[in-house]
Amino acid sequence: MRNEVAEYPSFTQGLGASIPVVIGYVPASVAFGVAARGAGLGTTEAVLMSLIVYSGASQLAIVGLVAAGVPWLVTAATALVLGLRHVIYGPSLAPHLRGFTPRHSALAAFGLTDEVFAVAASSLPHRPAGLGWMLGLELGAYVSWALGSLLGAAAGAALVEALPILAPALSFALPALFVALLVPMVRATPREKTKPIVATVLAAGAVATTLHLAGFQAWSIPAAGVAGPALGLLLAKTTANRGQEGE
Amino acid sequence: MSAGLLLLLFLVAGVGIYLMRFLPLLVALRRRERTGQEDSTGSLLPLVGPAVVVALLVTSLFPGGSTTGHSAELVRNAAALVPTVLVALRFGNLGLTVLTGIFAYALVSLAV
Repeated sequence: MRNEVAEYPSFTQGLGASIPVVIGYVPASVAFGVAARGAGLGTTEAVLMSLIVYSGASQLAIVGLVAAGVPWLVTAATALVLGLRHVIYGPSLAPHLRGFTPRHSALAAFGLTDEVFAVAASSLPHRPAGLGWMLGLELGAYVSWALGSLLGAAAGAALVEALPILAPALSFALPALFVALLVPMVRATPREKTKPIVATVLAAGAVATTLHLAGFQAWSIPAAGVAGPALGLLLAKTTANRGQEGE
Repeated sequence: MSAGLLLLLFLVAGVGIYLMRFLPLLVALRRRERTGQEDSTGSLLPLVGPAVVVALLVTSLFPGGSTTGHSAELVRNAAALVPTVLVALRFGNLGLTVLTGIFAYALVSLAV
């Protein structure tokens, strides 16, 4: 009998898949550590926030609001609104996850960040995975985020002073990572699904840009994640109907 | 803010964000288990990945949330984006693309 579990990518392969995320996370988390110290938090508090909250956008919002003296409940509510986008990640990956029990879901959900989702969403449709691969991917990302926060909080200011050109350049790591993930996603699409994917990407980009520039940053990603696919699916159905009419 | 309130803030935010990651995943997996097939949104889901990634890309290119006062940064981002996309198209390697982006941004920063 064939062992189907063995066919799924392993924990080590997941750890390997986390390397691009690590490259993106180190500079971002160092920047967070520097910002946290600048806002008056201690090194321990900065690292604790990375270990407990583990969401870059929400953490930076907390730092800004704490520095501004905003009440903790308002700060917490803001962080939660910024985290709304996470609700679409699990259902999107679920069809490609294998052998997941509720306990596995509870474990894997903690590390389901934007970048982990992006890597998983680009890989899993071609190669479904189990808990091992997800945990490998998430562990690499989590450790790098925590260590980067520690580095930034403990020695970030000196680091930025020593490497003035490198510091801002590292801020481009995350956009570059998203490009690196998006291009293969679009290119790997079967020919008959190219139009829906392109329509999805264009619509999602337009919605995200409009909302982001209008000041609705917290809503830009979930809205794009719903509006883009809806348009792509509509286009796919319209194209299919036209094809049937033409036959 | 006191150390105790700060810890409470981290816990509330951390637990809230964790539940936003966990509960939808749990519900989707349970639904799949119950029906034995993907749910009715199955055809929509393959499109969610690219949509979210492009949204993340857009928001990371406009870190300030507004173009006002960020024109130089936007120019640097746009200029660094070109070689990044080209390398992604040519090689399709995640690490190489990220490193190209960082290097390109550093070079552009010297000029702009």
